[in-house]
Amino acid sequence: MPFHVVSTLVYDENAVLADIVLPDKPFLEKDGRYGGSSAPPGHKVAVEATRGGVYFLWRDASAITPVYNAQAMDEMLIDLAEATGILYGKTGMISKINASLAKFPLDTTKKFTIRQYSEAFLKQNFGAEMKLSDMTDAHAPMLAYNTRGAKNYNYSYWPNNTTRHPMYFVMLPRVAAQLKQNLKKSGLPGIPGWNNQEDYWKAFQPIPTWVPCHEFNAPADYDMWAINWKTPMGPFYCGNTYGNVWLHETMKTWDPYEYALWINSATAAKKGIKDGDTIVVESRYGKTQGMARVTELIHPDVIGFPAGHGAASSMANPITAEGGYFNALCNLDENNMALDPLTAQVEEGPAVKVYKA
Amino acid sequence: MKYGMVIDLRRCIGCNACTVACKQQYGNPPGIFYSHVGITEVGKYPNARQVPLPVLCNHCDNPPCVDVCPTGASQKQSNGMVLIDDDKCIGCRYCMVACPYNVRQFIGSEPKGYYPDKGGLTTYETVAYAQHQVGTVEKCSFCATRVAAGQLPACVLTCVGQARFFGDLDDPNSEVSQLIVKFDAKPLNPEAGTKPNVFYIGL
Repeated sequence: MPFHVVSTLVYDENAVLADIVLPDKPFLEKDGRYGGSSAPPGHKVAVEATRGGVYFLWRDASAITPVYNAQAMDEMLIDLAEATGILYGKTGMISKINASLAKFPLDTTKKFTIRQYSEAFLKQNFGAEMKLSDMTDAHAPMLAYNTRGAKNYNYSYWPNNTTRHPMYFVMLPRVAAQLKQNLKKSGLPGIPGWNNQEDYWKAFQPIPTWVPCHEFNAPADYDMWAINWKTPMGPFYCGNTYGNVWLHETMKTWDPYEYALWINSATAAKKGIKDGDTIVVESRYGKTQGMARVTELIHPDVIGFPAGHGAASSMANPITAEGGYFNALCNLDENNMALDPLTAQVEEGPAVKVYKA
Repeated sequence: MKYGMVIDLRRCIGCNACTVACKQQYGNPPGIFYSHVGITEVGKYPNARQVPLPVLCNHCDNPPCVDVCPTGASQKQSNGMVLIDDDKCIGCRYCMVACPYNVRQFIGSEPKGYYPDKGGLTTYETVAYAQHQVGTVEKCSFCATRVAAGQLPACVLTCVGQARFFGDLDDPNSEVSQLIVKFDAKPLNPEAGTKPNVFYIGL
């Protein structure tokens, strides 16, 4: 990467590797509108939770005096857009934003603040009488927050409570066509750095399609499949979930299924593995180990890695290294489609062998 | 007025957000939990499932913790809450033995914090742990201070599944009273005879 700029609140790996670090503001110092799936307890936020997305308008931050002379990333982006000449006019950034602000559009000829932007979204979603200054600790309304029952689900917005299942993802062929056009315009024969171009474009098929999995070619002694999933306590790695001492302590103390590798009781008996044993899980690409949790909750051919434990790094809290590390088992070779071209995510349940340490 | 709680187990996903919100509210040191969600499993593959069970002080009508307290530190309030007066508690821990729910916690020594190898307590820990008196017993207070200020207990406010409900059990029109009747909500371990005031739907 030739030049790397980071806006961050913490001195993380990205910041260590960056050419320029722009200190970010903490959220309490920011006015703003943020998407998300949960709100910090006790914070007064306005929430719109009935149209498939959940949006929060953080409380009015005008009363908070910033501790340092930091600038929010959003503010920097506005400055950048202005400096590069893409902020104003009919095709500018403000016009693009206004596509979501039909009733309260921003002035496309004037630079806006995040506060104005947030307030416009507040009014658009909840009515002209709403003001960001209402979003205080004492008076913030909880708008449409925690809607209960059928209104939480799409079906209730369709006639006779029918359910709508989109089976044809029209966006995918559209994006593929646009991408091909851009490649042509740039004089590129295909996606740079991707060996198997045919496989790459397969990912844009607009209907769910089965593709052969390279792991089916594993030798017979790799007799199980390793899988990984989000858990209620460990849903995301971002935000250093697994380095949070309270979450770590709570998971370790109260949930015997976290920090453990799930193995079906019948399979465990066959392999001579007992609950609490240290076991090794080995794929063709790497291996990891952890404590066996003998359970009825998982398929007999599968070894389960709950959440994202076991990932160590020099900058992270050492507690993140606890538990089996699923990624150690994965292959990053795009030629067998272990990487999803669209998301750049590893999409793989590797074939593995499991034995006592 | 008698405060009580209803927990709808059908809505509980076992995320322990209540547990962490409680720790955050009271700045509890390592090892101290006023509330938690235990996770077990039932059934045989492929018909097995996890079962979460939130547990906290039941603020019983017949609280054995109050009966055994030699100093009167544990007391039943007129609003139904069972509270502990730190200044009267001598740390004998009879109450911990008497509690059938095992939800009382003992602050046995100065808390070491979550980063003991980093040169002592953080600023937050220094402030938070000053609220915990060494040599005393602590527990869930139904967030008495928050409730007095018109707020919900932290665990109820934060529950992502909206599984927790709080209110006046003496008021037949309150949400909690109506839920108990409608869904035949039951307390945990009623056989202990303590007349608990935390009720579970789907127990």
